[in-house]
Amino acid sequence: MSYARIVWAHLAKDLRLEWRSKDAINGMLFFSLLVVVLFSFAFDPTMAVSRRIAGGILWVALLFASTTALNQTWTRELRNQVLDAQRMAPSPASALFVAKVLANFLFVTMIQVVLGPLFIIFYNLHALGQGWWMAAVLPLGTLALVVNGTFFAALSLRTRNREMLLPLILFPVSIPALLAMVQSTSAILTGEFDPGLWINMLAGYDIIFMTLCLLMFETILNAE
Amino acid sequence: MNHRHLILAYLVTWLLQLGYLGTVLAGWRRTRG
Amino acid sequence: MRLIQGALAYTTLSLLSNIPMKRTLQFGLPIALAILAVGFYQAMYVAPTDAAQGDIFRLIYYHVPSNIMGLIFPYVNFVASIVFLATRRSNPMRAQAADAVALASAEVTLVFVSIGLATGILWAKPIWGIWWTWDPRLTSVLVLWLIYVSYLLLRRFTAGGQTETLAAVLSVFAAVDVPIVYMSIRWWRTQHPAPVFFGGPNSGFDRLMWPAMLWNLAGWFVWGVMLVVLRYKLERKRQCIEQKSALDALEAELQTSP
Repeated sequence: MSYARIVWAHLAKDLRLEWRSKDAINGMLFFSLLVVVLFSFAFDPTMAVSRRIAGGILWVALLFASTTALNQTWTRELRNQVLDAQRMAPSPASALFVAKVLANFLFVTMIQVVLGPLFIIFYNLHALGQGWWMAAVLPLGTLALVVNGTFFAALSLRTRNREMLLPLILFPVSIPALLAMVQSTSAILTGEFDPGLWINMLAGYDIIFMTLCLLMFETILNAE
Repeated sequence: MNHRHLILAYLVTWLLQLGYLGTVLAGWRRTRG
Repeated sequence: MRLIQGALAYTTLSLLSNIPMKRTLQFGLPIALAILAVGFYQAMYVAPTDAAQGDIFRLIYYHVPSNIMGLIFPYVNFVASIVFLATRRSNPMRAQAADAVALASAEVTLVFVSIGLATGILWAKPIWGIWWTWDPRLTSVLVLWLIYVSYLLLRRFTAGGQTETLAAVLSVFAAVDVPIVYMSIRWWRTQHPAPVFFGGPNSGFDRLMWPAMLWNLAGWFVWGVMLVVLRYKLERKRQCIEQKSALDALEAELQTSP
């Protein structure tokens, strides 16, 4: 089987499982919505102010929301010793990782598709910059969160307090990506400066950490 | 007023360093006994 | 550059770790304390008072060495983690030793970085009027602190045989991430300038202040190395005890089975 075929096999399985239960999606969706509403109460932004802070709120909400789902994608593998089976399978371990990343990416993107319009409504947003750049920022930002998130979720899989541990190790490493996501979104919304630098940085971050995660995944899968 | 921060800084430094040294030595004593 | 320092420190440490008894190591403590005592005297009485900032400037003789140590020991941790990952299958003995160095240097890093941050905050308020600013250097140091706390938490929460490997991987991530953090904040601050805690603390540094700085740099370095070696030995002890009890359990099992 080719690499792509293997990745697709893993991915299809995950998507099918998720479609049947819809656990992660529902949880994440509602969580993000709640965060958006809570922040409205916390900041009560006027239209001008909201443009400055919406970027930050959006990405923090997504960060927290994806954390709730990231753990779940791997714990699914723990039941029925599926993870051990994966380790013994002759297919490359990185294929499993890529599939998980893609699955998580799709889930978070689905959340964004629902959340985006709501965001615009609640904060009365109207991009002063070039709105279509968001089509670059959203996937790149999501990928940054999801790549490291999936990796660290696998890393904390057999730890004592895994739900607690994942954000603790994920957030510090994600800080530069978060900065880039928020800055580029703010740049697009406020139109006050050029998002180009940040979008490039985000792309660079994605490449660097995707490579690192692919290289090291086999190591942590077989950590014992 | 300035001196207060100075004293505090030196104090914090030594407290943290000696505190850490203390935990290492205490750990050593525990494995001995 | 720092990587070379870290590798050198790692090599020095592995040589030093051959000192047989911890008691012998207690020679390090008087030496470190002696150097630090001279450093203290230099800092308080010999070094001139800063024209602009007054006596509180003397903070710098503890603040800067702490920060420098806090930037060297992470590299020791990084080198040790790489050594661990490289040798864990081929040479388990060396891997265990490397892991002990990684753990020891991580903890000592945290001590030094915490002190650096705390003294920095204490210095900032009277001089610049603010406790904190999100400039590249401060933010990177804070992120370094956060990452090493998460490293130690990972080690604490992980069970059994996988702790070392997972921690080593996290260490690699940390090493890649911190420079990226620094650069990203720098770009951020070229776009949205914020108060910068003035240049290097070497701006306006009188030649007469160098002895105090050097004595304290040397003293805290010796202290730091001593701490790492002590912690390393403690960890090695713990590893031996663990392995022995595992061996005992195995042998007991072998005896009871027919």
